[in-house]
Amino acid sequence: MAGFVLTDSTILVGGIDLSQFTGTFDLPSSVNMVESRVHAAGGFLRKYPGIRTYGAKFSGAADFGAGTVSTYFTAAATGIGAQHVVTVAPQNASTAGNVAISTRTIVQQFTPFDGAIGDLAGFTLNCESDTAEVSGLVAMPNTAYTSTVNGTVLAMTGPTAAQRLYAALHVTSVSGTTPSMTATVQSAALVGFGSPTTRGTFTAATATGSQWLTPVAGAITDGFWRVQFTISGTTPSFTACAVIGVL
Amino acid sequence: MSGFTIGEIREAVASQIKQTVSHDIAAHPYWRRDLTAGGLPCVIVIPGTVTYFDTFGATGLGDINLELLVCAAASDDTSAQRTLDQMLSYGGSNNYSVIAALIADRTLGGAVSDCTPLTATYAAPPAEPGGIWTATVPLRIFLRKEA
Repeated sequence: MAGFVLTDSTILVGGIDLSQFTGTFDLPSSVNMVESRVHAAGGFLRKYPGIRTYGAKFSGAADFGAGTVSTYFTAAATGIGAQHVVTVAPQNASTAGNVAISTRTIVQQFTPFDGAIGDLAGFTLNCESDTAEVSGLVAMPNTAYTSTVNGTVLAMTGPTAAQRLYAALHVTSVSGTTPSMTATVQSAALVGFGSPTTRGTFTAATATGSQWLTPVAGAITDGFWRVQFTISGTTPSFTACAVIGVL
Repeated sequence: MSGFTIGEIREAVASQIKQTVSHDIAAHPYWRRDLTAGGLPCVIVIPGTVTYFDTFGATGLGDINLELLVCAAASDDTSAQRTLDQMLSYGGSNNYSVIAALIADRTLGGAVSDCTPLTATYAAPPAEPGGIWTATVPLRIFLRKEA
């Protein structure tokens, strides 16, 4: 990927699309350095990489409309302390195969509005991961789905024995009567996807929210992957996005 | 809202001033060279910097910086200045205020997310007696590109 200017990034946190509210994002990752003081180190302090941690920080324009950033993160169920999957697609999540980074987080801090006279009222949101962060691919673009659909087949090297497959699902709007959507991650050895293997299944989604698939251990030698949405209900509609990756 | 349509926003600003101010003020959404022909006092909407991405995405927030050129003239300079002062005053029972007209509906009838005048700057006196006294009012207007 050549250099590019950030204008159309997709930012999904839990069951809300934060893109239109966000002006700045930061995805810091770090490892806790563990010190070792030993005599045989030639007079130097040895350090070893310990536990890794990830963060997701967002700021932008406050908005208190229905289903908007300031409303969503001041609600008890979805505000500070709530667990949300975070996905950031720096170009956008509108196209399958675009790069996206996903992790599962806890909302650590939220400021619903701040600023001085004359400023655009802002918000800040800090999330801290409670698991791995994976750099993956958009498997199901962030758009509306009204019937069962297979996602684009993506070429992606499966996890080795030392790696795992990760998958994230965001549902940002749901409508219809008794709507239900089950997402499955499938792989195949051939691009034709003649006899796919289901590698993981998310819990059926009936409302907005996000899910982090239980990581799937390798080795999986398949080189082709897709996500399938199985949708039921009367005039169901789900705005959803799925990301897969290997770490 | 009709999205990021600069012409519509300029027209919405002019329309709100025209409809809200009680006195007869001409409000022009587009620059005109002959100020006196359009009638005085008047307000002219002049666009400045346009920012397309304050937030991400096709439905993200952008902003347009407009400048209102507020003009007044009279046969004597004192009357012209009084008119300009009234147009730029805010609060009390002043129904000549361009500022109050804009703040009365900061969405400009739903055309934008927010539009707030924060400052005004008076220009130097006109060179000739009976000339046009002016001031500028910057307006930063926020709106979503697609509504």
